[in-house]
Amino acid sequence: MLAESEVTLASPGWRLRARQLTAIVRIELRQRLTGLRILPALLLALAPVGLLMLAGILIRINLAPGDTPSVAEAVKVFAEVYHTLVLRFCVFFGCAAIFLMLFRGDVMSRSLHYWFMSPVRREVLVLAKFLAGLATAGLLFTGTTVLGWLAIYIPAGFDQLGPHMLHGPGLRLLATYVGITWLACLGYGAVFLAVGQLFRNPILPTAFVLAWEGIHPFLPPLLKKLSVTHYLGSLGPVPVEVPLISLVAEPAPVPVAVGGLLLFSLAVLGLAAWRIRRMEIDYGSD
Amino acid sequence: MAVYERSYRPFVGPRTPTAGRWRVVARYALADQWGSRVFLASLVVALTLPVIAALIIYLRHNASLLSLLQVDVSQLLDIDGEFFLAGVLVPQQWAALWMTLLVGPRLITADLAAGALPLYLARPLTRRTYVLGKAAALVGLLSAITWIPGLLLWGLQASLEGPGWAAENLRLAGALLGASWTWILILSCLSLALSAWVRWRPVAQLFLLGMLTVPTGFARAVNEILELDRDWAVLFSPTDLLTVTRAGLFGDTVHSWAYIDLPDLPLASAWLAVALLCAACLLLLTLKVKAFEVVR
Amino acid sequence: MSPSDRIVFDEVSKFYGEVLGVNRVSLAIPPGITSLVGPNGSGKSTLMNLMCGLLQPTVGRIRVLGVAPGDPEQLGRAVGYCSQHDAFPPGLTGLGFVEAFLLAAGFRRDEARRRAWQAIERVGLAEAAKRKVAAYSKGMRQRIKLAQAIAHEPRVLVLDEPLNGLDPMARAEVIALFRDWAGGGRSLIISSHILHEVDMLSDQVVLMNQGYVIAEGDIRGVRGEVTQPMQVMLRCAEPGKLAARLVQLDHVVEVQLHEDGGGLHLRTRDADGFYALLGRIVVEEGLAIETVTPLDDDVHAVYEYLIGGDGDAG
Repeated sequence: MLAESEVTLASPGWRLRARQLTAIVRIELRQRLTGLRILPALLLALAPVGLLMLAGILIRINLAPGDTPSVAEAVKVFAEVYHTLVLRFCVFFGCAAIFLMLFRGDVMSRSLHYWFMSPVRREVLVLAKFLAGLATAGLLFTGTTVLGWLAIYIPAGFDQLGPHMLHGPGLRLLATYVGITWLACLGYGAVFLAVGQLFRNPILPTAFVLAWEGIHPFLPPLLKKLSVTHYLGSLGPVPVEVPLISLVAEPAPVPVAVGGLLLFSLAVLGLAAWRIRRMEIDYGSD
Repeated sequence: MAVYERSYRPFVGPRTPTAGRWRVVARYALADQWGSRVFLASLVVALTLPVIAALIIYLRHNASLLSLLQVDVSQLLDIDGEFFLAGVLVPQQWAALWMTLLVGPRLITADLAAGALPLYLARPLTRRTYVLGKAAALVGLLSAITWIPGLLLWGLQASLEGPGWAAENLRLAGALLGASWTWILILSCLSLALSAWVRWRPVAQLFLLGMLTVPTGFARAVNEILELDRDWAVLFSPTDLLTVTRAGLFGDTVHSWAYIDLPDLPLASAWLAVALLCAACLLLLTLKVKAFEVVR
Repeated sequence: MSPSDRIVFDEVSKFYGEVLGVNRVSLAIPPGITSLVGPNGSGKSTLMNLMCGLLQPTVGRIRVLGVAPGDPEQLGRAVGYCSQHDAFPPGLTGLGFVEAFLLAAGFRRDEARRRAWQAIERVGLAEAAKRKVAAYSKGMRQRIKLAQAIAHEPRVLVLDEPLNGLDPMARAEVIALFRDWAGGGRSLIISSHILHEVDMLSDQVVLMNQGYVIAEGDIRGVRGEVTQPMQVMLRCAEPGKLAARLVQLDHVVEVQLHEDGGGLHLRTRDADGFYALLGRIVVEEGLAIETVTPLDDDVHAVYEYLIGGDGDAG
């Protein structure tokens, strides 16, 4: 005798899996984007914007009569802040807060078994949770990038916005930074999703990744290629200052940087999807 | 209630004196850590460097061994302020940070998650005793890898070099002690406050890591773009506060190259910021460590 | 019955490092209500988690109605699971909680909503459905977990300590729900430490201790296999006369007269033989028997004989 569920639930197939994927992404997004869970990542996303806006306002207030601040100078400041603060700390910790919790959070709240008992392939679950995390982090930090970018027009005045964006390099630069932001979320997201799934205590690998990315300027060129920062830095449209004692390496060409990050993220996601098939639920003490 | 009267026998034996009860909490605070391989391996690594430093000091003073090993004295490090700062204290302070990440966030979080705080505080323990016990466990651990080996190494050098060296380098001993305690205070207060407010250990650990690194990035960015007369933004960065206060304590006992990239901040304001940071953490602790919990 | 109707464990062992979870378990659990009984750490939850695919066996093979637990797409359709952990995804209402996992399973929105309501009504939580689960009482949380487990109409329901936290009224309702559920050829696997309820409820029991299955089957069958003498209480007018006849039987090992003179208590190695002879004795002696009560063909007694303790499996 067939149970009622088997009458109305379609047979397993790509159409059903696509529907499951959409549903899980929606459920996860609703959980990630509401409530206190989002607060740390939101603060990390808003802080650089506040800083750039404050700087813009102070510069504008302190302008000497007759001074005309240049948008190009402001773009350089944005590039510095973007690389040293937004990418290095805000996106890193924001992604850690969001992606580590995708599986580890469910283990800590002892609710992962609800997902595992759903008639869903675990690989679909990994992909859905990753997409939900990516959408959350991507939207948050795209907000940071766009709002931070807008703040650079405060000193020169927003009448510069139109010409710089439409007739100058503004739109191209902004689009590049938004692209880098999504790539960063993709790369760090894949790493942290896998770390949150594979490690009972994810802080150890997280601290290692942070230290590795932190010493990136001082690494020899060969080892630099093993850090996400190297590829993201290579994509930056505006050059930024490097520490005095750092070892200089050739930036990776754009196709290598983008392709490398995409391939790296896919490989890490593949590992997570392969590993989850054997994952056991152990609600030990956390 | 005759049955009750017949069967109930209150404890009449000796009790731990009130003033010493924090030691009981401290003794159990790290009990489960000794079974952790990561903790033990980290502790061994943290204690290895002082052993190596002791060997270097010993070698430096053992002419016969040096000639046997055919090592030229000039090839060995000088045992001076730089050695104690860059070779001993800074690595040990990183080790202390690592050990705090492992241990600190668990101290109160574990009790909160298990609903054990009311059980603790239903005993003849005050909130102050409870916090003191938990803090003592962490402070003891961090002391064992910072100022205790630092002072032992200083003592070893003094004993091998003679009383003249000790008298000349007394400030070095004070700096080792002071800088270690500053870092221990910052780490203990931050991690205890976080562990009282964040229920899950990995989340608390991530917060602690973020609080010790993200403000540094912000401080750099603020100083860069606001072009302030001094690096005031580092007042919010615990690691930079340590660097400034440490430089103040070591003073001219080390050469100026050790202070490359030192934030430009008045020393007094750095000390004041450390004091305020610790006070804020203690306030957060007193708000959260209670014998009851409001469940929403 | 074919293996596709049963939950089959074939020489299954599970070790947590060096710690034994369950060892060499071979079972074929038929449809109906099956209770897993055993003290803490006996391996009940491990066995449940193994059949739900939440744990992987170290060795051995498991099939749930012919489906491997490693195939979540098929297993999730066939099995509903209610964990012992009182935990939920944060921020959801009762209705939202049940509906969310139906949507994740792939049900369309209207169908998911209909099924969620149906399941919630079935566990008697319709009035509280739109309140946050975090604000539910312990009993309500147990019931909403149950609603989530049954909402997709699985053929196997696995419930780890499902009666915990329920008040007597709710217990009775939930037990009635279990009976109703298992009526249509479906399987209900429960673990419980409230033995008299297990006894009332179960078609068969699996007794576990220290990772081993020590007995399985219907409770009277299991009792029959136990070599311990069986206890029977008789209330009658002339117990002395009856006792004199009973002690002559080889399989009767002990007879005790009640202090009030209105009955006796006996222990026999052959209960069936005793019942067969009792009628003859009564007729021959002209006795008036008021009641014959087997005292230990319940799960409590079987538990006590096989595992020891006072029957608190908890």
